Amino acid sequence: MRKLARHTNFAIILSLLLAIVFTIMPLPSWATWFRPLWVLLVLCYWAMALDGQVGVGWAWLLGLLLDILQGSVMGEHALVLSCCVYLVCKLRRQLRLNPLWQQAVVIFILCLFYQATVYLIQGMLGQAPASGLYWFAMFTSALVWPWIFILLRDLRRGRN
Amino acid sequence: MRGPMLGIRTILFLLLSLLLMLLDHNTPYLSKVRAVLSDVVSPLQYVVNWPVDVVDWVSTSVTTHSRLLEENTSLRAEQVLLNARMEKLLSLQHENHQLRALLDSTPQTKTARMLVAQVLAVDSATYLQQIVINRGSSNQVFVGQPVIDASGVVGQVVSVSNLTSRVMLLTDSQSSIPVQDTRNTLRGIVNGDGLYDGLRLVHVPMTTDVKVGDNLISSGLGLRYPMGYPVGTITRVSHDSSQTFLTITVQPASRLVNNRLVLLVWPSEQKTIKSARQQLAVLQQLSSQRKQMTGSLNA
Repeated sequence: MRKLARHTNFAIILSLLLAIVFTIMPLPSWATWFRPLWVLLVLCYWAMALDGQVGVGWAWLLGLLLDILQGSVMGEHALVLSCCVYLVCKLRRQLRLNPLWQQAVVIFILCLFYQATVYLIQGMLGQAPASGLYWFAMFTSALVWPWIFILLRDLRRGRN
Repeated sequence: MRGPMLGIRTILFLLLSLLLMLLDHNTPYLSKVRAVLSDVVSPLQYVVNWPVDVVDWVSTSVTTHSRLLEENTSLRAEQVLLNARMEKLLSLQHENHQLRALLDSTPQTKTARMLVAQVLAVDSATYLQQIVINRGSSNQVFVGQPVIDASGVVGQVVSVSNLTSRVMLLTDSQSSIPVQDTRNTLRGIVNGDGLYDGLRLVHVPMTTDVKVGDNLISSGLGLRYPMGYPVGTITRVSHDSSQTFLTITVQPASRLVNNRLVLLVWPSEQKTIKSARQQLAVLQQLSSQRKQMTGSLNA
């Protein structure tokens, strides 16, 4: 049992680290608009799959890290990520029963909420995203979700 | 943990992040916290940067002998050219000094201290035009320091930690730089519009003489960027009679993204900046005193 818990912790930390690395990985300037919201997706998976082990606190901490790494105002991503993870925690039971494509739809709406909130905060700071391409990230995020789900499920169960 | 506990915790975290945002945006108190946290996460940035470095290294080490020779000859030719230009510049500088001496004014620019910095290959948020460089407070980098590259102004430092610092590019929507047209010494301000190669020359009246192809250099009036470095070239001037000012698009002179090496500049005019600030403070004091006096007179 303890071994299992340790394995899960390892999987959580590894996947979140990778998500952060993918978020700051350099891409050609046209492709940055299509970068999926990796950290949000991975956090959503763990909040959904486990019973409260990865919750709002984790989301807040990771959001703060993202703010530091991405140069945005401190607390911005922390706020948005903890809101999203709260919603996922609330909907955990239904989400688990849904088929993958329905989950992807919920994730899409969640990403829309995420991006709209970031847009709002940036707008209040006088720095709203200048391009409409900004909204493309939620489409790629929803498309990537099924793969993330399957990959992380296998990682959690320790399959190769 | 579910039900009310989860809700309460979420609300606490929300309030905490709101407080952080307010403090970070409006006050300088959190810059130290940000510096410490940046040092904590900087290994991650170096790790992400590492493969790019390796690719660079491999591509230089597998270039053929003939390619290297070729590059060497072209670099030599370039050096001769630059030397020739340098000679001309020195004679011009000499002449300039003499003329200034005739006018009894002190020369404005001296050679400034510079330091080469490498741009780390990490991306920032899409709505921010920022880069991360591998120099920090251990190299005396300071917030507000101008950054240039071989072909022009890049931007300014906005936050500093021990090992890295963040540079806001000219194209960031919060960036402005005072400029001068080299053709007719018209002065203006260039703002970034938040896209990769977008600069705007703003608040230029309809009747002003600006043309496509005009070169803009930094005028040094904001006391932040040094004087005389290229900022960009005007690529489009549109006369829209429904607007008060001209809409002028400027192509930046330096390669703002895809840059690997930049230069940090320590302005040698810092003394003059300081004295100018002091004079300003004195003037403000005087005006406030005058206000008080007139107030007491009225009373």
